[in-house]
Amino acid sequence: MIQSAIDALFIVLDPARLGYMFLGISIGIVVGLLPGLSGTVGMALLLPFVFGLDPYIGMALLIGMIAVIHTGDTFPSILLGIPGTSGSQATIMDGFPLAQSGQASRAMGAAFFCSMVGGVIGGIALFLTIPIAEPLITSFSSPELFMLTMLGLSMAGMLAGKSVFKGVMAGLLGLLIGAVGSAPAVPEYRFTFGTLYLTQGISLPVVAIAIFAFPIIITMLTDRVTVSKTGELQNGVLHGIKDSIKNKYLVIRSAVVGVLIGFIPGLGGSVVDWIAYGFGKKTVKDNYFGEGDIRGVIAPESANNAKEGGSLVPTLLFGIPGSGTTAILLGGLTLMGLQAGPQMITTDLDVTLSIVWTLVLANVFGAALCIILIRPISKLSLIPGEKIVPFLLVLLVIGAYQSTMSWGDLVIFVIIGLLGYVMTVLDWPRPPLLIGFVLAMSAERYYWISIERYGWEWISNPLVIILAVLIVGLLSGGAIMKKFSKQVETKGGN
Amino acid sequence: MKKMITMIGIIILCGGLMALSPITKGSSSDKDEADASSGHDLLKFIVPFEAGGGTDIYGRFMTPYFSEHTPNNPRVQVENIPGGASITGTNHYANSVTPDGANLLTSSASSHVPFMLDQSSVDYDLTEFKPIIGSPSGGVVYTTPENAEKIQNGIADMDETLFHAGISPTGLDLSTLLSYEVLGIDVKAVLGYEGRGPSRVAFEQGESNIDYQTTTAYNNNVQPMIDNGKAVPLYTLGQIDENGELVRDPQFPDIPTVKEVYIEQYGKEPSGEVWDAFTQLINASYTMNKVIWVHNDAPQAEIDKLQASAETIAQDPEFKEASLNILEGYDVYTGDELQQRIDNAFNISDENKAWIQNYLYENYEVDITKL
Amino acid sequence: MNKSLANIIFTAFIFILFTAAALESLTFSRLAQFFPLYISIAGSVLSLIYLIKIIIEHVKQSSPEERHEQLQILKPLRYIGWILGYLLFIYVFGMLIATAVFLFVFLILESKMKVLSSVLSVAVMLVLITYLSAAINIAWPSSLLGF
Repeated sequence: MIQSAIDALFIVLDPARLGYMFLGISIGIVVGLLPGLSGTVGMALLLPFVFGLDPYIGMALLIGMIAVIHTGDTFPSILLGIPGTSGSQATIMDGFPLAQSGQASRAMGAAFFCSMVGGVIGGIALFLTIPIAEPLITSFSSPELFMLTMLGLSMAGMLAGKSVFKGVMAGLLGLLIGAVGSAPAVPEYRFTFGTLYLTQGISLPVVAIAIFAFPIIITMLTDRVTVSKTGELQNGVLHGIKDSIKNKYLVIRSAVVGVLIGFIPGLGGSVVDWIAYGFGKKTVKDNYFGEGDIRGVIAPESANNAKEGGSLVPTLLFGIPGSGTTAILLGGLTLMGLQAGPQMITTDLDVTLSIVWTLVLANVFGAALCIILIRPISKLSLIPGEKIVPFLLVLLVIGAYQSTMSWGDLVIFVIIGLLGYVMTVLDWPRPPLLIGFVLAMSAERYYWISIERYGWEWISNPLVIILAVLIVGLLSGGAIMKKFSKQVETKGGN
Repeated sequence: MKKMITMIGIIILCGGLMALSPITKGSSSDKDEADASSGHDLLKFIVPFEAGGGTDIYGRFMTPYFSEHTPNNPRVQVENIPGGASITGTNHYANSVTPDGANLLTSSASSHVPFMLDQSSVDYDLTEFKPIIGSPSGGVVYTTPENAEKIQNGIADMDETLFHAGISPTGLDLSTLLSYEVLGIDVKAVLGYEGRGPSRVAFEQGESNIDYQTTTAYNNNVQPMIDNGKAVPLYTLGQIDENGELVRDPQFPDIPTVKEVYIEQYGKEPSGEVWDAFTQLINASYTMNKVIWVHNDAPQAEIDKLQASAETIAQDPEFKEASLNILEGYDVYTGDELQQRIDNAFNISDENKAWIQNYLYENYEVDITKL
Repeated sequence: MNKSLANIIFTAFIFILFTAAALESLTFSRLAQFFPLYISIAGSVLSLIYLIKIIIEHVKQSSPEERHEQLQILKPLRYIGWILGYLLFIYVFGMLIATAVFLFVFLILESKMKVLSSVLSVAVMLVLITYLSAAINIAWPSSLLGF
């Protein structure tokens, strides 16, 4: 395997293929950077071009793009408080406050460095799990998947903020919004008000940008402020990198969480940043997450790039896409004459290994490119709100429209946006709503399948019990976990 | 200040975009665009799914061949209109797209079956479209070695319930569920899985113990399980020939069809309402799995041109070779044969329709006429 | 309007939303019903309890700082109006015209920018979005006039 890995490295380092990888990287960063354009849009964009390409070239292009989406999407999350894609929402929680206090460069330095490390860990994880993927994946049946969605939902409780009431209600509201559209158990449409648009449910990118971007836009206009309240930019890229190195265990831990969540088919991976954030919040000593703690940037950023490596395992080996992006990747494979399945680690092993290398290299180069871009782009946070908002609005409208290319997207954008604005003004937490929304479908699906298939006997599965204990542990303060966590991360690395 | 930012934004974008242009050129037609008088320069394939799915790949696979074989070598573009499990896009094609012969629809079983069963959200009439090219797909039902043995020993003697992991009773699963019904196998269908991939993993986990996969997935993912002794193929769902008879699947000449298994078990040919409903569905959802259509009221010259190009595509050796990989290796149907098959597939009797609607209502609590 | 009152109104709205959803869920078939029904009943009960709690607090004036925090109403409404207006314009006239008009008017009226620089930045933006749509197939919202 080592020998084939080295051979694959030389395949990847072929100048022509490297060129396509850089092409993929630049597209990935642009797509990540523009709010509303997500990996799905990027993939759909590249798909027409991969037809008939040599698989190594095609993969260099596609994987190069996938690898860096969650690197580039950090810019708007930190600088504007608008998620670049739905994978970087949690970065806003602390990244945006940091930018407001003029420390945008530091936050971004940390974010890109962690993205890189996380992405490389994801690539290595993909490599290491190849031989043991099958028993691992088949150990998660529906009851375990249901418990995992419950674990995700319990994160919503942790991110509830001051009022538990408001947090739980926001979570329930998210679950309800997620229930719009087709029911999993029976082909019946719910809450569609007679429109065909709602039959497929409300799309995540629209909800994610609406609930964060809309309130920010209005507040920037009403308060007439720049993002950076101090009006100056400290140069802190190196500082940010040092912060990350100081918190190396948090980086590694979050990356592992990211890989695992990406790895488990059916969970979607869209909540990976929140889960890493929640875990970080519970396990880091003396933290002030939510008020501009650099570790609140490190945790989700390490996880969201690592996820891509993890989610390629079920995609390539089982043909189960974990997200819209990997679903299109599967289509791309077909167009290049490859099929996902066990032969990806036998006859097509070199393609798989070249994917691993591309993932690792693209993460390194992507992060480097972003670090170079920090200086010019972070000046965005010095522009007065009323001068930047109209331009942002144009991009957001176009971005929201890309979800299903229907006016319904824009209507939902406004409705969810208004809801988000009122919630912001009245201090209702928005993260629980998003988590509920993302997990609604999985929660209902796996609950139904578990009951229908096993009755109630699944409750006694060992893995189910372990997960239940974990949830209770997390909800009941996490004080015990803190004791065991060998963290030296005190006082936010300041 | 702001101008500078905008400039920076543009520079980044242009970087990405300029880099994109070489491949853009490579893939779009670089044929000379003289002779523009004799038809459209641009054909559009409307695909009622998101990019990347089976139907989308089918459409995209066809684009270069249509470009090459149609006079004037038009550019061929895929346009995705996802939503409503393909109903949104198909409705859109029927009602809002100009019938000028330059806009084509790529449909699949997901549009065919709801039309056949009068689903209420369907606002299109497939008989108002002209089929240009169509391709079949196949399905194989497999189970665990122990259960295969029990079934072999006689379905009537089986006393346990098998579990089938499926997506939705109105989708492709319906044909398989009806095949259990035909054979009298006691199967509890657990529906609600996300796709055929997850339902196959459910089989590997033991969450289900009877399952089916379509041709490509079967070859890639089930065959290794069979080689390892973890699964045994039971029967194929079969294909419908010109005469409406169920015959062996050309991709699986060694696996018996439902019909053969039935004859072996019960010593007579299958017949009756269940059987009629089953063959009707196999025709509409497997034998006519993917079809590319054009509006019936498009200019006749354009329709003729498209049909002619479909004929030559079907003969193109390059196409045949590439389709081994991507179209699961089945021959495509064109021209009168395709029209004949389409007519057979969608010409469902009222009794059959009522029987299927009732079956869905009784067993799965689905009232398809209200969907 | 003060914050505490606004919170009561919003919670009441959420309560009505959950209750309506629960009632709507009753019309679904058995298998489609359980999930939304559980969720909306839980939400409905919780929001009712919370509503009662904050009404009592409001009457007793036990959260003085919230009570005296006045919310801006007109300003946000004005900007929401801008956004809705822009979308309406897109719907009627199409992306290109609507964006040009919206950006120019907004920059002059709200941002108090000079005419020349407004024109320049609008032009840059239009070129950018046109380029996006042409080069990488980014679709624009469709409009009544069809462009």
